Amino acid sequence: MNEAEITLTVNGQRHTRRVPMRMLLSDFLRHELRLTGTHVGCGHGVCGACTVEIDGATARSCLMLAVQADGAAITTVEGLAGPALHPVQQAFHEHHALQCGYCTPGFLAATIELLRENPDPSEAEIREALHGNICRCTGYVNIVHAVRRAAELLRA
Amino acid sequence: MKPPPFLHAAPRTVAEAIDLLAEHGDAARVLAGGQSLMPLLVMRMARPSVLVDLNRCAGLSAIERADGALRIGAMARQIDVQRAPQTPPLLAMALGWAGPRAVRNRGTLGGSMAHADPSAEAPAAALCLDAVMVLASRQGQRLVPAAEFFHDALVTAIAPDEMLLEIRIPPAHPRCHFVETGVRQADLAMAAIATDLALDGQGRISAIRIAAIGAANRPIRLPLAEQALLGRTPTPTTLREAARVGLAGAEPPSDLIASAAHRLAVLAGLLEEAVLGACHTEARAA
Repeated sequence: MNEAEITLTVNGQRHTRRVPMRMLLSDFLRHELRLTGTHVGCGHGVCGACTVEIDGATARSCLMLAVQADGAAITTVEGLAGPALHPVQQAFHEHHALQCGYCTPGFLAATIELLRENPDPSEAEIREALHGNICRCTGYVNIVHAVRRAAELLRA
Repeated sequence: MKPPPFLHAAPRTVAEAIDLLAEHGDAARVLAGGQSLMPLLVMRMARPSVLVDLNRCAGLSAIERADGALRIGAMARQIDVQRAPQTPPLLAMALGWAGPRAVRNRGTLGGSMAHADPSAEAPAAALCLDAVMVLASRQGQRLVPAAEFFHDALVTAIAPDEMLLEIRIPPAHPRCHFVETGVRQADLAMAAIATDLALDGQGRISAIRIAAIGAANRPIRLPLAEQALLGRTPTPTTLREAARVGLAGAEPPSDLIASAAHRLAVLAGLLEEAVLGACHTEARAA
């Protein structure tokens, strides 16, 4: 009854699950896989908190169905750190680029995509790349500082 | 939030997709990049019983030149269209306003056309560039010029048993510009102007097309402004006069964002800025 079986790779691990066709990818990650680092802010594609990487490009996981991710490779915030923090996480930590942290997973995904294509972005380019992510603790100044620091760390 | 229940169908070919639309008609909705339809589903403003998901449908993402026109598959992602070297600069500029990166990664050119949000940038660029929409159904294909495609807010010429296959764009003029105003820079457009023009050797406008967002409940051309500028040198006086006559009959919406009168005032300024901006850009080969 309006269900489908999907197999996908999340943070390098393969999962096969039977899901309702209407299940959002964000809910699948959080409720089925218990990867609660993907945060749902607005639930309709405005805030950017649920941004994850799907087959190498960022996407809002609240605007995709889990069934659409069949066969995909997804990286969530849980997949970023190894033994040490990811350089972008390290830079956010050093520059106090988070207060409550709710928006942070989305900012990290957007930042990683930006720095992959543009290793030395200007402040204007950083603000342009992050304009789809909303922080309600008003932390944008420190976030921009953190992205510049992350760029340094990644170039080193 | 959770969408209402539906059957998710993922056709592999256009023929399969068309069969699904013929079978389910009004009860079906085509799902492209999902950046507009998914919010409507989770807010339960749309309740299709079948979602015809084109994301696994072959042959809908090409961007290629054929018979003098650029053909962009309906499922080409906005980021790919924006970055393709063949894309007319006006369309690329308009897509730069279409949303943040994560949205343009998934959002498609065809989805933006078919959804026909009156504040969307790509439809205005398509109208300005005299794009042609290629629609397909079991009856075959039909071509609908952009000028006849956008009927009303969220209403297009696409019939329930049809789908948008491709957007065809004829060669553009050598100069263009796109300017927009919203409440916040990256927010929905309150008003925007797209223009594409050519100058002769004396600096007079020898061809011009102007499309507006925010002048009606759909993107519209401003033919009277185009006529007022044709053959003229773009001075402050001619531009102000063109904006005046071009917007004289316009009936912009009034809403919480802006009154009709405010939109008209903003559009007049944007029109002058867009045409001047286009005249001052480096000309490119068509």
